[in-house]
Amino acid sequence: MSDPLETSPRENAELATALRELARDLRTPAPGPGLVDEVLGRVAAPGPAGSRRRARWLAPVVAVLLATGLGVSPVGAKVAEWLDFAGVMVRESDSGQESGPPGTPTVPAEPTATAATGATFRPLVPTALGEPDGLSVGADGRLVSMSWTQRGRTIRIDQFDAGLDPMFWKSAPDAVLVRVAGSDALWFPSPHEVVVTPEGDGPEAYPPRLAAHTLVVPLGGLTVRLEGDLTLRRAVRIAGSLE
Amino acid sequence: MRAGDLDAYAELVRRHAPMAVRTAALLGAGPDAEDAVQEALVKAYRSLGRYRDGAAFRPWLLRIVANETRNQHRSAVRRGAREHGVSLPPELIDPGEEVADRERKEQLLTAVSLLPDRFRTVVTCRYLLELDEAETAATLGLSRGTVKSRLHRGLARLREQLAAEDREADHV
Repeated sequence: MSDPLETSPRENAELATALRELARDLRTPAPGPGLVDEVLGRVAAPGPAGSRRRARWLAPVVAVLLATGLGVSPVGAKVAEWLDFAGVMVRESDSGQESGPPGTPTVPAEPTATAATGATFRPLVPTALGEPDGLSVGADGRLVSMSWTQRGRTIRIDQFDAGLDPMFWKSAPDAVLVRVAGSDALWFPSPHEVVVTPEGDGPEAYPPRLAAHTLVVPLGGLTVRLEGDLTLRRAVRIAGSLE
Repeated sequence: MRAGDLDAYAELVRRHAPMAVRTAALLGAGPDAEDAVQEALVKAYRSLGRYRDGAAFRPWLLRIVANETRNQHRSAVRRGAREHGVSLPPELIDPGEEVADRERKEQLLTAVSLLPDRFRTVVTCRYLLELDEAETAATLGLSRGTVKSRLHRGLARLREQLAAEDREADHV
């Protein structure tokens, strides 16, 4: 049998060059800010070898539960893995349905400054989109929702004070780790259900709904979720313009 | 370094964590890369007694990272999370890339992730992680001769795969 290597050293060299170029364009996640402390905490602590100190999911006043496809077929939904993201839980499940347009906040538009008086934090506004058409603040002031509708397409941004708990990543089939403004962010390229729950075991504050493409990104102590008929590139650009 | 010297170890962790996470991610840990690295760093600390003074720390650590990534991938497969290939999503590629370049690079990345493990791991270490041959050998626990031959055969395999895809595309 002939060895392809011996017959084509030039092509192998070209491919090696292409791979090195690819390497320079690959963006992999940076270590989380808590990694060093987590490791030192584990090696310093006596206890069973290999015991994993798991980052705890802190329930802030508002938590957003994202479940790919869950709710459409709750019985068939296979919850395999959990992914925690400051104030956002993601679980893996069957997927494959069409999403509707993002819901718009029901409260009529008000100037951001006025609306902010009801919020416990100053909400960020993307300069790429300007002032929102719709805006609402959750009853407890910890969730602010904004929407923009252009040519029948709606973009929605929810943001909430998520605290700065350690982030903890687990696999989800569709969620993709990306970088936005120096932070790890999550991109959901397929429809998934969103449920907003209050702290504790109280009733759901908002009805579950099916979400479109979504980018979840922690920014300055807030967690921001950006949703709409968006490409990853556009979502990253909008998220990058939040100020 | 003495085992138990936590400050020194913290410094080593800080210095090598970015490369360790990149190694885990590109060897297929996907979003679990940091978990794999955390496990590897804890195991590395506990194995410091077996670390030979004077040996390079980075490949020694990367070998533990590579093993941990493989363990996690295996248990993920056992749980039915993934049956084939490893997770190298095209989203790893810088979104700023031009479309034509991007398609070619996505195709290349996918082709790498579909290589049989023995080729995929050496190609990934040598070219995507840009380790030299000696570091690739140390990271994967192989002899340099094996690294050389698998690299060559891995590249040939990649070329075949890319050529086959091009032929398919021409017939669509």
